[in-house]
Amino acid sequence: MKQKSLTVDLVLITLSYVAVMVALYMAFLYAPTERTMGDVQRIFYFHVPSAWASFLAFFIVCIAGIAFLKSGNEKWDKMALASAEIGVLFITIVLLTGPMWAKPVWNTYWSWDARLTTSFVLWLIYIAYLMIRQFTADNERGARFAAVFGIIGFVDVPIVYMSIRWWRTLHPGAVIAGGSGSGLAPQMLATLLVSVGAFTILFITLLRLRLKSIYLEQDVNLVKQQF
Amino acid sequence: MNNLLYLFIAYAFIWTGLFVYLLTIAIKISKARKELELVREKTR
Repeated sequence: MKQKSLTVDLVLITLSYVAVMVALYMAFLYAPTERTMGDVQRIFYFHVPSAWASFLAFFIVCIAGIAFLKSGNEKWDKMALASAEIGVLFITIVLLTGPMWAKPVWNTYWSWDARLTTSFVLWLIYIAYLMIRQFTADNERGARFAAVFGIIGFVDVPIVYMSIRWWRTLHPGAVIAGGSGSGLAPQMLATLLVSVGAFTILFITLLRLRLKSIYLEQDVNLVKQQF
Repeated sequence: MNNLLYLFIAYAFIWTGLFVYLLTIAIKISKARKELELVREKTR
């Protein structure tokens, strides 16, 4: 059983590595240089997949929170905690890479427009979620409160996604499913999709490894309590 | 600042963030395993 688990870990780590390398190759050598923005546009190939990975992570926090409240099974609580942590990592990457792209294109690092503000609020929500977890460690009531917070917090994800459709923003409009006039060159689209795939595999790998560490830490605490 | 420098900084944020997080998990797993092993040895 332990051997099988290690094999799955190794397969996932190898897959993540290969997928990220392919995505990097495509981002720098396969995708053409964007005409107006130049090379700095290549941030897009990891900025958007990071946002996607954070949305996926917060979706899992929401679903795991519902499952925990319904069943009371701790495995869902641990899943939500691990996923929230990784989600915060990815949304932090989004908030750091965005300004690096914005400065040469908009001539400013930050603008309080709808997409940027709702993304920042999303970051604050899940930082607060992690703080709740930190201050209510190993506490059933705290876990329930965090589950409710994680479910309500997820409301901001569709708002972030729709913000560029609902409001006029400085942030570029949707390039996929954005209606007429939107779209990407085929090579750019292929690169973006490969990067999204790579970050999805990376997210699954990180989630599995983080869950493993949470269970091991729990085992250590249990053993310590016995002696 | 050169556009390529912004590109470099953005990619540095991405890979440093991911690497540091992965390293943190690896340290946590290794520390927990060591502690478990220590307890097992004590109880033998």
